[in-house]
Amino acid sequence: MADCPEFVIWNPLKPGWKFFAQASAATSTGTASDDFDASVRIVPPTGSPADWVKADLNPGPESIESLEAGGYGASARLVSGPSGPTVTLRAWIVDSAGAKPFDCTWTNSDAGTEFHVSIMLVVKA
Amino acid sequence: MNKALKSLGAALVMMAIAASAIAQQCTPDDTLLVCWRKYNSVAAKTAQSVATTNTGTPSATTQAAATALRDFQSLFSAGLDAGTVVENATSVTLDWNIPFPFVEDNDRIKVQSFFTDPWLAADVSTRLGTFATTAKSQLTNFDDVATLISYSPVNQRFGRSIAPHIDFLRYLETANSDPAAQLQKIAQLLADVPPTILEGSKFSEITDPAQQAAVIAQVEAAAAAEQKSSTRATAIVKALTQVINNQPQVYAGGTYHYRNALVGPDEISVKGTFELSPKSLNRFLKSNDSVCDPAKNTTSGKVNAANASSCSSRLISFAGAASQANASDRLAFAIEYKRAKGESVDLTKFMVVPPNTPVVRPETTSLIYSLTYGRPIPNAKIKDARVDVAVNYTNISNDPTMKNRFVASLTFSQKVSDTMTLPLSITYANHTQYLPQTDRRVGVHFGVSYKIPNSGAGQY
Repeated sequence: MADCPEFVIWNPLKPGWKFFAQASAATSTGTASDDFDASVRIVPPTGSPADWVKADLNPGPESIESLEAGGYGASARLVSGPSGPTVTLRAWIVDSAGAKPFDCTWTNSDAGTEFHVSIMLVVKA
Repeated sequence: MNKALKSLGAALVMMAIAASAIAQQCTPDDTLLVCWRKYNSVAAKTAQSVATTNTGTPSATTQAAATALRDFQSLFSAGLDAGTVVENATSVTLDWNIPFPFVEDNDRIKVQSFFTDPWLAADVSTRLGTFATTAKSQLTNFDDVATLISYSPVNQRFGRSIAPHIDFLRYLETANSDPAAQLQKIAQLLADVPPTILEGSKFSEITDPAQQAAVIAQVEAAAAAEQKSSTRATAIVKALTQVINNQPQVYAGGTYHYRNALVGPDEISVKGTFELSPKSLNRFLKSNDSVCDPAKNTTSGKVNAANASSCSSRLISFAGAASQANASDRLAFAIEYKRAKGESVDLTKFMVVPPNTPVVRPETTSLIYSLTYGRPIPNAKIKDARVDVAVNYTNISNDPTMKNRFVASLTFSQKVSDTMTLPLSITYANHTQYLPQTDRRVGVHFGVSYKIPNSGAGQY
């Protein structure tokens, strides 16, 4: 699956839908690697921001179990360590029927770099 | 005339600045993604390929083409070393780095196999006389094979992995503004806009002029925040990776060297090596502990952002200095204990008669001290090169007929691509292995090594 753009808007979402994210890293042969970092910061329409760190995202997934009406902003970072594993972040929405209307992956395999992803969730009542 | 030229120059500079400012203004005909990318070019990512660092050849440090930087990063590499002039041995090295997460999560073991083109041992060759050619023709590429297994711990003090430094990286980025709040404002504005706006939608699809202007302004603000955040994060990660690449490595291993008796005795050895570099993360943290220790700068879960910012600035400055030519120099010390099997080599099948047969070899034990110094030679026009100088001293302890051996080598290795390196070595030995007499030898080796980094295909 090709990577989504680094700036995505998921719209429209409905209150009660769920948001998931998980991260992993793998070597060129597909074996898991720990030489990476990943995090997601989410600012909801009300309340305090949530910070999901590597331990939350790997193996994950971490989730918001019920989205509320309004806008969410999420910024994610994928750091590929010195050995240059391919770091993958996957984020998706699960609607009330269990379907996944939005499902994206992003990867970074440049050793010693940080890649940013911006996600906006537009939840309309 | 001079004044006119200055005025023209100033005008051109002003025009360039104005053009740059206009280029970052988003218009109603832009999509939100196009607007975002006016501030954040996808191609702006900076690659810092430590896995593709020139680590010399994957040979053992006691071999001719030694390197002061042992590569525990690449999954697999292979090397060919061809000796010329006097030391004719040609060897092929296969090198694997295998995850070994039984002590610590990021640990690896290195498995190397050296296949050397077999040559008759000097003590055998002299006894064979004219039959040496017949004996040599019976040797195969599997008659001189050494297998080495070594272990290198990866933790906050040793090893070239970012994983043990994740908490430190997060601490460094504490002061970095996160654009999530700005993104939330975009999403909130779009929640109040009737049409469904996606990243590929044009601003002009928002028909209400006030809402359209507000969304453009907010996307520009968020994109500018991301640009600032990304620039700082890139600098921090690049600097951290650079000093992690200079972290010391310690490794220990054992080798079994199998040889046909005509080539030499079988050997078993154990070896410990310590590598260090002057501009490492350890050294940086030692001298910047007050502002860089996350534990000392976190109170009730709240990080001292000012100190974190100060630490990241110091790290970037330190790493900038670390990009100087001598900053990634590396020194490796090694000590190896080796035991060669005692044996009696019967040469009667080659028509050799007593007293020239058998050739009796006593069991010998030896200590080998190695010192290797390496320096990368960065080159903006071509791929990086490195120079390694190695000296080995073999002290043979229990055979008075064997003379202690001294070997020195100078190796120049030039990267020709991110995965391929061409090494060239000049070696000097005070005498050939397994010969008692003094017989000084100078050799020239050249070769090629190929490395498969631990990354996705097509990245290098």
